[in-house]
Amino acid sequence: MSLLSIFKTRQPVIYILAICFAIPLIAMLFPGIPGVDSATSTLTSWNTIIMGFTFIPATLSLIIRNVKSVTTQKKGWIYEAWTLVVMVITFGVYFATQSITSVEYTFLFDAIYASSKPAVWGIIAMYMLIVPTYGFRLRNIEVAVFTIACCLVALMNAPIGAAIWSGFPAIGSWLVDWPYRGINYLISTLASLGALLMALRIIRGRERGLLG
Amino acid sequence: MVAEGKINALAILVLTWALILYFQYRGKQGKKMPELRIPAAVKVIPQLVGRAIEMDRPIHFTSGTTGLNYTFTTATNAAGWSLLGYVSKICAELGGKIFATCARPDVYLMESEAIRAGNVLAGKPDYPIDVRYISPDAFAYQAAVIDMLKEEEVAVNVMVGFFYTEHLTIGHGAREAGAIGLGGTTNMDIFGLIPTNDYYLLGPENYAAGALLSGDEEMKNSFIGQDATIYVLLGILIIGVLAATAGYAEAILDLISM
Repeated sequence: MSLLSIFKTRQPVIYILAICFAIPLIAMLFPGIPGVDSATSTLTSWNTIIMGFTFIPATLSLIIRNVKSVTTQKKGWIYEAWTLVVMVITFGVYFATQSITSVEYTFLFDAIYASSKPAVWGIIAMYMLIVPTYGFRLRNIEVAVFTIACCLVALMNAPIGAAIWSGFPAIGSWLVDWPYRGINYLISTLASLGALLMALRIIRGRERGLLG
Repeated sequence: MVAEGKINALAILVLTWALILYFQYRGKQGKKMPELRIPAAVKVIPQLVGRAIEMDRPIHFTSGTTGLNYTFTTATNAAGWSLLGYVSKICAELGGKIFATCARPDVYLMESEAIRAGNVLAGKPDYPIDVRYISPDAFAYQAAVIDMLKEEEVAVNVMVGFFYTEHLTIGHGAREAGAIGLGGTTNMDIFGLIPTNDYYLLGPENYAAGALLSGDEEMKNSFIGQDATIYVLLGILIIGVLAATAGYAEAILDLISM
């Protein structure tokens, strides 16, 4: 069900949203206007409340999808079943103890969540290590420049670079201080302008991809 | 009246919006407008959707593990969701399958709305919406998405949003599944997206992608206004550099910190 389907047209909602977005902007640019600061703080509180409510549909969707996988015995359904079991146990322990600092809840967190997290990280970290190898295929001039620069920065950071030649740390530092930082600022500036434009499109209701 | 240190921000805001509105007005008057370069990654999207439909394999979308929690993540993710809306419009028109994954409940609602908006634009409001909320934990999310990409043999993997490390793992997972990658972000993590994706959107191209796909002339004209702002800022940059070189660095610093 669409969130906005109770309105016949979307335009009034977009105007309300535009006012909600404009209030913090005005508070930032023109401080001291009576009522604007308190309106900003009220909007921020309501934002937190709405964010809290978003857990409900998302969690329901997760439960429905996992239950469906288990009932249809889709491939790997045992993992979905285990997810549901852990969710039920976690909710059950919380509602029984009414505290997230209770011995039982803390044990659940330490034994299941905290210990599985580094394990998963260790498994998928291999993917991160493989990715740079894609960049090492020098298929065109841009990738070649990119790869050589990466190698120089890597040699700057690794002690062996300085051991091989004292110039590597200097070249690597120059690359990080000048081209990288300059391009970083440029991309950030351009991206900020793009974000401004997107905000204008959303406020005017022209961003059909988001608003329909 | 204006907050301390915000005069420049206000000036750039007003300048940007004035130029955008001017070029939109100019376009409506039918006057000659500069040509807009469409990024290759945007031009290829309909072909990617067609490829996925021919292979009877789904398209996957993700905007990372961030959501509406910070300003800089919200803007980039909104660009991704806008692109999702247009990609799902093309999918609905051609009868393709698309599913989106998310790591935050607020993103679940945003992606659902984006796909629904795309279905409405395609004239098929009842077309299926498949958004999967996985887990707020980044590693659990990445592991689940990699499994989904391989299990469902995704044809196209679209990753546009704000990423920390998930673009590397999910990008590689997509490659292993044989999917064509389309990635985009507005921060320096683009360097992680480039090796794992066949097409990528750099910086402001992310914000433009969805709007360029829509074919809306007024939105295309607004990008010309944005580019005009960039030229103005470049001019100010060059003047600033020359002035600083000539010995007026202190005056320049005082001016920009107004």
